[in-house]
Amino acid sequence: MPGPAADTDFVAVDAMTMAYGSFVVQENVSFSIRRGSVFVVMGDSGSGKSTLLRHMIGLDRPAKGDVRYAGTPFWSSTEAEQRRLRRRFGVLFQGAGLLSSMTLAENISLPLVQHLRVPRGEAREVAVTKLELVGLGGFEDSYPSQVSGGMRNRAGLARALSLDPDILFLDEPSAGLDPLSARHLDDLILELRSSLGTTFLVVTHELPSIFAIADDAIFLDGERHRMVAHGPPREMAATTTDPKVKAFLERGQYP
Amino acid sequence: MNAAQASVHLDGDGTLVIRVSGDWALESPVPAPASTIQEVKRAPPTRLILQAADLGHWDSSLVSYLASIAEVARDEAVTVDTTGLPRGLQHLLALAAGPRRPLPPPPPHQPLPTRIGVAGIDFGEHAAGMLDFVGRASLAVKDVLLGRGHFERRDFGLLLEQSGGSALPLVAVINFLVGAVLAFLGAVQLQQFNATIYVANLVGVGTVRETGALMTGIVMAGRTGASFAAVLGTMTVNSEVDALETMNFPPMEFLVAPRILAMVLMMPLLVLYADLFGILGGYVVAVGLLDLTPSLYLTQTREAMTFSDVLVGLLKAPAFGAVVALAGTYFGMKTGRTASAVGVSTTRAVVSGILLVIVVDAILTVFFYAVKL
Repeated sequence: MPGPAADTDFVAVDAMTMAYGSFVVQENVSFSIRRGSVFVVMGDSGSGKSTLLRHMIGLDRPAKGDVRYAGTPFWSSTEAEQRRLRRRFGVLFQGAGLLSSMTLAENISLPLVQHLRVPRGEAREVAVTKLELVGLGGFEDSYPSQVSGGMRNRAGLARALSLDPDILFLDEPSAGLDPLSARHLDDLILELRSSLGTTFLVVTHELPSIFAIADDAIFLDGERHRMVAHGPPREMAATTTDPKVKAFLERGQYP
Repeated sequence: MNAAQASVHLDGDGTLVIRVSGDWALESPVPAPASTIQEVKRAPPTRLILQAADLGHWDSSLVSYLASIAEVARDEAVTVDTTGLPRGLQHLLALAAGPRRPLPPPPPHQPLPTRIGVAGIDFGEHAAGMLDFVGRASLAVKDVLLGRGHFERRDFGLLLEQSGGSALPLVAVINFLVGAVLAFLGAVQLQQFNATIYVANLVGVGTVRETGALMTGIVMAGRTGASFAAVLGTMTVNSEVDALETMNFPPMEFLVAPRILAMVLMMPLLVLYADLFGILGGYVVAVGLLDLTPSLYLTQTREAMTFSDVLVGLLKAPAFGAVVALAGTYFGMKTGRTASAVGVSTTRAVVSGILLVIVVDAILTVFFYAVKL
């Protein structure tokens, strides 16, 4: 299905409703992501940003709607097809979700060894390179519990990159990073987008990051349980009529 | 320090004046706002004036006292004048008066029959969930055995050690003592018939058929079943399980199947080892206290036990291992997303592990009796 049309709708969320039991988190969310762009999901705390991400990567089944990757719907596909789609994802979880029983290098080489049957020595080389990419050269034999939260986050990003994914899902990647590391991470995202053509979905509420990296964005409102704004953040800030979105993007600046 | 005081005074024109004075500190007694709040609600004044006079040191106790009264007054549409208070206090009160979300209604009180019903439905769901889990775990074990599943060989080595080697001292001590207790119990009864030599039969057959496997099963439920639940629970809390799932490592194959396999493989070995220590416990008591000669006791033990006695114990072992591992992994994977949920899961894993071991033991004992093994 590739082609120009598939490129603008590389990832497409169709009228997705997310609910836990009878509690509706977000209703009727629709948007699409162009191939090779950085898409940001913003919203106030508890508005369901991470929930949206969990529904997109196949951890929680939507109450209604579906998500399509290059035209292939995820939730109405067979398990084998879902596996094939997941193989193209890289995910950074909040708090990184690194396996605590393995070193950073082992964490990153695990999918290489298990899925691609790369020999261990070679996989380790790749892992070291990925760690260097996120500024963690020399930490390959540390365990996740031995490094700081910000470093765990970066190692989680390195693991998400291990299989050279087409789509990277990042859940609050700069949480707990100092301003310099956060800036470095933004640069890295832009670099990966332009050099590898990776598509990004980033959940964040760090304003500097949003303005630095986002090509397109949506805003989820936790009180009204729906998507209230959609567009590039600068445009959104200039044109939105929603007071909450405006206040958010202007960091509630005092008049 | 002067005692904290609040004088409440209603003027002729309906203005309520509250004048606070003294030192207000959280650790010392301060006036309670309840009666004033009642008063404001009952007969709203036209205006509320908050003033300070001779106010010494003050902290959050004063802020919360004034804020709780001011809030009620505002609800009754009464203007609140705080200009008579120190500046800092005025600002804090203004902040506290910000918009607030209405509290969600308290959960309705449910009568006992409803709660029993809800508990019954929950139990049914748990049982169905557990059956589903057993099914998926069996499929995963099959996949791993056929070499189709993903699993880390190095991790499996650690699991074998955890569910085997490192339990050796505890299994030895417990089975030794149980064997000794069996010998005592038998000796007292058999002495009446001058048949103390049959202590060897009691200890030998009792240990290999029953107590060796049962005690080891219970020890493993408390030890390894608990650790499975705690480890998997913590991994769930840390999003490690989610991460595995998105990396196409089905947690069933990667986490659950190796643990079940490790327990099923190690339990028979542990039970064999437990049997030896159980018999040793009986031997020490018999030789030490009952004046039986070592060679007589050992010959008698060997004659008393048949191969099928040993086999019964060894057949029970993998079944116990499977239920302990299933309980541990099931509750581990079912853990909620908080630290206390890990504790709850661990407790449940141990309780149901022990319960299941005893239930399975009862069923198997009847079964082996029926098939005359």
